[in-house]
Order: sequence, then structure tokens, then C-alpha cells
Amino acid sequence: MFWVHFSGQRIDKLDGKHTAGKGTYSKNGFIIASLAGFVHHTQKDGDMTEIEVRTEVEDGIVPSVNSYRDSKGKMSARQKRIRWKCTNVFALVTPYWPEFEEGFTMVPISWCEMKCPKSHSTEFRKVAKLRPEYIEAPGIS
Amino acid sequence: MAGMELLSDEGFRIDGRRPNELRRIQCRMGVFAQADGSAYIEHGNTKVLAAVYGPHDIQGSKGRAAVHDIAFINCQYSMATFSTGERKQRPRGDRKSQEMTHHLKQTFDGAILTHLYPHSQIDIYVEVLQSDGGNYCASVNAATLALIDAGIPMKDYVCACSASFIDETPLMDINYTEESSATPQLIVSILPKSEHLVFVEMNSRLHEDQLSRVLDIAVKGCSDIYHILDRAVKEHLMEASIPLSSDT
Repeated sequence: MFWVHFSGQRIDKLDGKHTAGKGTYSKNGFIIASLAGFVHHTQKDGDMTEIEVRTEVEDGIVPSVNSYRDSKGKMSARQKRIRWKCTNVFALVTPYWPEFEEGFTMVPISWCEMKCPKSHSTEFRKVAKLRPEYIEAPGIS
Repeated sequence: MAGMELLSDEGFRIDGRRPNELRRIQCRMGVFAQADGSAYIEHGNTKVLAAVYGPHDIQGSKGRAAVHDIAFINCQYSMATFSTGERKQRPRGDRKSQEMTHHLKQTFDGAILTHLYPHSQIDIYVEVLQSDGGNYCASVNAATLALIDAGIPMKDYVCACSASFIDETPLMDINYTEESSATPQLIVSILPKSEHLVFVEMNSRLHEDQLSRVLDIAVKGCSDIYHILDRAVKEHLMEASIPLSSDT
């Protein structure tokens, strides 16, 4: 069940039970829509409910891990484009920096670079074809 | 313009409106397939087209001017050669267009949640197809719709409206004739939910005592426009999302 919401519209009170998710921002104790779209409530740990506003255009500025793209396609952050081109299964991956025994997940800092939070070494972000047995991310089988 | 009656004894304006009436506003969202967001708006005879691209990586020399922890808003305002009574070639560097570009950038810097998109750029292109006064207002309203169409997070809608003061009467949403007859002109854009002013500009002279009345009618115009835009967005959203909402 969801409702249509518009930019600037109050959705709910920002109390201990609701958090502002994507497509919203919080101000003066309220959760306010920053996009025009549909409201989704997601149950989080405990009693928390995350409130999101989703449009028909899904986008993120930095390509997220596991966003698939065509091997020939141009680098593009718009996930809608990426989603359309899922012919060859290539994934944008975030490797572990192997300096320490357990490894640290590298953090994307721009379109093409990522950084290890511990050693601060910078690497280019990788696109790789993965063997299924090495995939640890959710949403991939 | 001497002898021209901008407000008749019966209280009607030159185009037949009452002082507190807007011109007819018609709008459409998603007019282009190639742009990430687009919109077309008509304020009476003023017709404006807006297209939004992005957010994308910062391109060209703009990178030097950009602050890297927020998105860079790149605006471009232009008027078609056929938009005015006299055909006129207006290159992009035209002073008036440059100023308008600057005003649009200021307006949307204050309304878009730029901190969500570091290292990136959002382009807003505005083209005036027909000009009959209130170009800034129509441009802002068109750009707002285009930004919403592109799914770019904003604090609120941005609505703009002009106002004037003729014969001791404040006038809402003035047209070209009213604008060009040495009358004061107040241009306002607001975030309608909070009624915060994002942009205010004043041309010509107006007595301080009258300012609040003129400002009030401009803000009233903005909130009237907000309801029109809101309805258009609602309709567009319902239309666009029918197949999507059924599978979620």
C-alpha cells in the first residue's frame, strides 16, 4: 500500500519509529518528500520503519555495486540505462583491500575511483565478470 | 504608451483580467524522450520549454568553478529569435540572457538538494518560445516541472510570479504591456509549502509603504501557481506509474 507524494509534502513525524530514507529529507521534526512519487514503508531492525519516496526513474549518482552493464556500453551512472542493457552479465564490484588479514571493503569516492578506509590507498573501480561462487553480495544468485 | 489605460474604471486590466487573476496556465511534463526531464508551460501568451539533464559527471571548464561536495547547477536561458514582436538574433552571451541564467541558477541552488550529488552537475536548459512578459516566472515554473520529471530531489516546488502596482492597485502576474509601461515590477519565487522566498527582484520604483501589499499578491500568485503545477504533476505521475504500481 502506498500513497502519492510530492516534493515539499510532509509524510510523517520524525519520531523514534520512522527514519527518512531515499527521496525524503527531514526538517523541523518532519519527514518531507523531495521527489514526486510513491511512498514505501520498509521495516528495519526493531520497530523502525524507513520511509522512502520512489519515482519511476531510479537513479544514483555513483554507480552502486552490482549494477549490471553491457560490456560494450559507455560508463553511465543512470541505473535505468544500465538496467536496459543487461545483455552480458558484468558487474561493478567493490573488492577488499587485502593489506590486512580480514580485508576492508573499499568505498567509492568518485565515478571511477575507490578508496580503502584503513590504508587510504586509491584504486580505480573495477568492472568484472564474476564467477558465481565468489559473489557475496545480496541480490545476486 | 501615454493615454493607455492599464486599469479601467471598472477595475479590469488591458487583457480583461481582474487585478488578482493569473493568466491561463497550461503545462505538460515529459515532452522530450532524450532529456532526463522536460516540461512545457504556457502563462497566457508566454511559452517556455525546459529540459533537464543529469546528474552527471562535471563536464568541461565548469569543473573549476564547481564546489566538490555539492552538485553544480548549470543553467542556460535563451530566447528564440521568433519569441518577440521584432525578430532578433540573441546569441547566448546576450547580457539579458546571462543575467536571467544567473537568476535561475541562484533560484535552483536554493531549492535542489545539491549535497546529495557531490562531484556532479545538473543542467537546466530553458528556451523561451514566445515572450509576453513574466519570462523569469514561466522559466522557473517550467524548470521546476522538468526537475520533478527528471526525479531530482528538491526541498519543495519552486513557484514564481510577478506583480505590479498601478493606480493604487496591486496587480498579479503582469503581461508584456503592463511590464513595459514604466510601472514597478516585483518578481518573486517561493517554496510554497514553507512560503520561504528563494528569489526576489524589483524593477523600477515603488513606495516602501506599498511593498508589502505587492509582495503579498506576488506570493498569492505563487501559491496559486503551485496548485496548478501540483495538479499537473499528480496527473502525470498517475499516468506514468500505472504499469509500475501494479507489479510492486
